[in-house]
Amino acid sequence: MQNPRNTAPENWLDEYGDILFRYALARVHNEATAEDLVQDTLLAGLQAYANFSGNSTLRTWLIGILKHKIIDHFRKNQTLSLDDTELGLDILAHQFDQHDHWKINLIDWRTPDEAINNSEFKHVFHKCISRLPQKMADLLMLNTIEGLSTEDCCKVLNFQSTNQLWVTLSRTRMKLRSCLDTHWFNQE
Amino acid sequence: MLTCKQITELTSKKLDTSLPWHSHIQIKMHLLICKTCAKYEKQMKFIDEISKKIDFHYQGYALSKEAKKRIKKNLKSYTENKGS
Repeated sequence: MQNPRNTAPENWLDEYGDILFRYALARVHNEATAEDLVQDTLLAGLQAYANFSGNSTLRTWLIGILKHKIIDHFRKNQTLSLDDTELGLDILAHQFDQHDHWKINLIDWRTPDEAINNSEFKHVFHKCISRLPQKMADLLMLNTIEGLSTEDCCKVLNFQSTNQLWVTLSRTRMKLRSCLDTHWFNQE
Repeated sequence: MLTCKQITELTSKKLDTSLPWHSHIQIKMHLLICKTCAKYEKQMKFIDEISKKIDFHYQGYALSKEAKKRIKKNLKSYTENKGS
């Protein structure tokens, strides 16, 4: 393998464009947005190339820039207040009675461990994520999947307090549970 | 005694941060007598595990020829502007 430093900037797009594109796509789930992010990353890379120390591979370095661009993208997308679906009020009303006890029955999930490697399950899982309100999907992506700290998630996604973030995360998982339950575990 | 709704919040929060000892006891007591919340807690653990593990890579996806052209053009105009 050639030294990644030798990849001239004009070849970055051909060499790393698709890797960056898939990385971004997996996080923003939108091809046009992912394309913009790749371009912004390459531009920022060109501007900052003088600072590239060569301690990491060029690929790792570019992905590092992309990660920042993705977080910026999430940050820009935020609204100040949460609406009822983002608060999860719809799912609460569906699942709990006026005494805050369950009004639905939960079925046993048959061997969930097998689901992880099942491509049909992955499809259902992605679909359930895409049905979440944007703010909830963003939160799940940054907190659980990217592993961003609670404090950073609050800043990026504009949550007033960590408690508000935890409550929203709880209702995000509740919606995801309900969707997986209906579209996967309840299917024979 | 906490309500089921409160328990769902705590079982989720438990995945993200450490809870005070009295919360653990409250959850345990509730789960002993409430089968639905016990199932819910199990399913929350599964959802957290799978969110972390599931492969989000769009294998086979690539930038289209048109997209590459667009990006190339924009990068070029940047470097040219810088040069002049």
